Amino acid sequence: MGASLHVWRLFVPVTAYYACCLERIGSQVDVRNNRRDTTGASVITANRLLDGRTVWLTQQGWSEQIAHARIFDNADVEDAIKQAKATPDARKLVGIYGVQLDPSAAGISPLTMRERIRAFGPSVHPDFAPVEISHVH
Amino acid sequence: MPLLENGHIVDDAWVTVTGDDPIPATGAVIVPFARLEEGLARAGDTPLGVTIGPDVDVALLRPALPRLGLVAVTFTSFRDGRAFTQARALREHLSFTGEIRATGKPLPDQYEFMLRCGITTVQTERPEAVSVWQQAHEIISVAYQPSILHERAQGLGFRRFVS
Amino acid sequence: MSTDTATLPVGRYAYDQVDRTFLSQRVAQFREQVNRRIAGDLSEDEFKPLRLMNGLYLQLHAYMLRVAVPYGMMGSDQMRALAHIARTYDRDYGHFTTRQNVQFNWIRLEDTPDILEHLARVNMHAIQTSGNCIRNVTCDEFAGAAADELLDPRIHAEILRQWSTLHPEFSFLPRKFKIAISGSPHDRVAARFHDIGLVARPGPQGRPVFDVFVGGGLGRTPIIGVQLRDNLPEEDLLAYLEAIVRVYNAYGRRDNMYKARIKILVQALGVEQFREKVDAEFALMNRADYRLDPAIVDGIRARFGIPDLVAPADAAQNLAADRRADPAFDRWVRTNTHPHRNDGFICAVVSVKPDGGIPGDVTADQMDLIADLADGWSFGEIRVTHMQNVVLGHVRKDRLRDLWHRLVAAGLGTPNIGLVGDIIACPGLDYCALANARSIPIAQKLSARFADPELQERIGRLNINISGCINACGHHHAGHIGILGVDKRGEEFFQLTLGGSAGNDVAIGQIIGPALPEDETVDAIARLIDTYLVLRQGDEQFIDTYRRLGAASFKDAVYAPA
Ligand code: HEM
Ligand code: SF4
Repeated sequence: MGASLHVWRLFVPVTAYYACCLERIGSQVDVRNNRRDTTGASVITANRLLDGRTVWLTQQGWSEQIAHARIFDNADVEDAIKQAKATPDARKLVGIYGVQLDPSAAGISPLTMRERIRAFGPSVHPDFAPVEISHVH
Repeated sequence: MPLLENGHIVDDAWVTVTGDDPIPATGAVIVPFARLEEGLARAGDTPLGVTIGPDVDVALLRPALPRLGLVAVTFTSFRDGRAFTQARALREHLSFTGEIRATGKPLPDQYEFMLRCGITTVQTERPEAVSVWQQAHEIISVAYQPSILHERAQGLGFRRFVS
Repeated sequence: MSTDTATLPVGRYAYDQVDRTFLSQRVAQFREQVNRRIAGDLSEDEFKPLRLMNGLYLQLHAYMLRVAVPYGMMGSDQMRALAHIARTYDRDYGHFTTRQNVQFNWIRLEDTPDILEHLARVNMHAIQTSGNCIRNVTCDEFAGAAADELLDPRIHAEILRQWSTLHPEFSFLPRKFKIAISGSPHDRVAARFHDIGLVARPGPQGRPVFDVFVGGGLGRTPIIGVQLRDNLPEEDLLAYLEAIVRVYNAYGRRDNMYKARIKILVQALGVEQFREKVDAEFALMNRADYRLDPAIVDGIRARFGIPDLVAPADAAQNLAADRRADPAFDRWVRTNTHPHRNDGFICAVVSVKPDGGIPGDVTADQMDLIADLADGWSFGEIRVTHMQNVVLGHVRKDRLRDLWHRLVAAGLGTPNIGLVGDIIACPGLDYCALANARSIPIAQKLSARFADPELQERIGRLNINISGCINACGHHHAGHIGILGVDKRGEEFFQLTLGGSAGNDVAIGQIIGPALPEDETVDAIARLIDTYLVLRQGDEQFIDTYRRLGAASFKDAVYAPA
């Protein structure tokens, strides 16, 4: 957790609200989530259009399990996001963005509480942790 | 850009003057609000229309209104609902009976709202087929509040049938 | 039109064929919009306002559907339909909100038209539960039942519901618009924290008059509403509201969504200038078109079922005897009931906040049970409260104890209404895409910590309200103790406010100091409450002790080293 990390996190409160129910920037992703460190690694996520479920980009398609996610070096992740947005799959997804990983975590785990909750389900309902159902194709 | 009236594409009899383009001396023209004086100064009673932005107080049109055949209201985005209030005020407060045209970026899903606020035509850049607009107009036949169309009352409250 | 009151649903408006036609058309319209979205004809940007107009949000894990419960009233058939939806399309539960609605958290977009169709079968919908339009009108949870009520506000709430439904001019306002209405001198609707708050009372010739408050709200800029009009005659109610909303639609800010609520406009213009604009519009409009004729009101009133309130003469005596016989029941009656206008009846509040539970979450089985209890004890009528609980409005006093037994058996008999355990909490970061921090775990820890009913009663009236972010869905500014989740470098922190209130003594809570880390928050609140117990004089309530002493007396307790 270096100093540069500190910088992106400072933006949080200002931008947080553009996310969900609100208009303005429409379908663009919550800026807060899209801010990443210049170093470290990220995974790419979205919600599925049809059922809204959280999914993660894998080597071949999208999965409900972050454990299957493909890990990108932060130097490459912007390009990877652009590419993911350009595929036909993107039409079946809402809000594709990158999620910084916690380098000190065992396994693939996002750095922020918000993304951990997206990845592993509501903390108050461990029984609702995501299970693999299908891929997006 | 097709012009829509009563759910059908119709010919546009008006010429829209944009920016600083010269105003034709004859024929039906729509001028920007900023050039309304210039439009009014044209000779004779050639039909004149005006385009207003969503921030214009329609009461400002009052003196010109007897000379105007058309007022074009603007949806800068479909989320900006001020044009509804402008159109309704033109009908209800200013008794304007000419054409009220929606321009800009309204959605077909707003068509019924437009009609009930007194908008008569829509100039759309949307890709949807006319049938989508037509359907948006027909799909709901009941309304729950008064409108400038004074629809036929139906039973309780302010309920009415829209057609 | 049927006037047979036996067939009308008690406490709410009975749909007729035309209303049902409207609902099914609306479902068909949404089905078509969903199809266009799935086909790619509508972008997410364009679809979003359309789905929001049907109460569908995209949250962290799935779509969330917010079902309208107009003025908080529903029938047992409707509650059973909600249970069915919870089982079939969700994960066996729903969440009751402070705006008297019900939310489902695990909805699929592709199922939504079917869900709406199912709701429509019991005359329910999700229309205008979100979006920049006039939202579900909220109302006193004891309406038509409370002993302290002057006038049943639900008839006018229904009139406003109908008037605002797909309003052609007001469906794309600068921002959301919330109206609350009360008919009691005791404000239980937070009238002055709404875009428009209406307080009704009887006026000349038996027709109601209204005090109109405008420009209140919570969110990032909490503001107490100001009185715009007093004694507004009933016949001008719609015209006047039209005038207010027109002025708002024309002049409300659209350049900055944080400044787009009517409260900001009222502040910017000043109430005098705002009133001038409204009065000018009101004077100009064609009032005959909007006149709310007594005949119209009475026509709507005739569609409301009226409970046949007959109780044995000794009902009240029986209740008194039951209470003497059972201290646990007696405690529940003290905390969880409200006096009814009829001496043989009482209003029972079903707490959906078990100790350590998730405030407002109700399982499908509990929904079915509440429906059965409503049929057995309260004319099939159910109310959702702004405290996220459920009310059975008309329970015969001599039958209250039976009801209580059933509630206790189902985990719905917690005696904590108005007490520490009756915590308001928004969904927070466990579900909400806008959240900074989790609200629910804090609520769970607090209510578990203060589970002892004796301790709760000793502490007395204390509203703890928790929001997961500055949007204030959990009304934290209006809580005696408010808890606001903030995000500091990706970690959850909580800011405490003290002294808020939503009632007649309306006040905005004041921040006591720096935000606390998650693991210190519950302890800090426990110390705060301990301090109050030491400082209170006699039976003084927390809010009064706070008002007498100010924040300083509590600050040390909150920030004491653990
Ligand atoms: C989970 C999805 C939800 C989202 C995305 C959401 C979003 C918002 C936003 C953005 C605001 C601020 C509006 C403004 O000030 O302009 C707000 C206010 C509010 N919400 Fe929610 N909310 C959600 C759930 C809830 C729930 C569950 C409740 C009830 C428990 C609720 C009740 C309220 C209330 C009472 C207000 C503040 C009153 C006001 O000033 O309007 N919301 N909500
Ligand atoms: S207060 Fe914030 S976190 Fe809580 S429900 Fe509202 S928007 Fe979500």
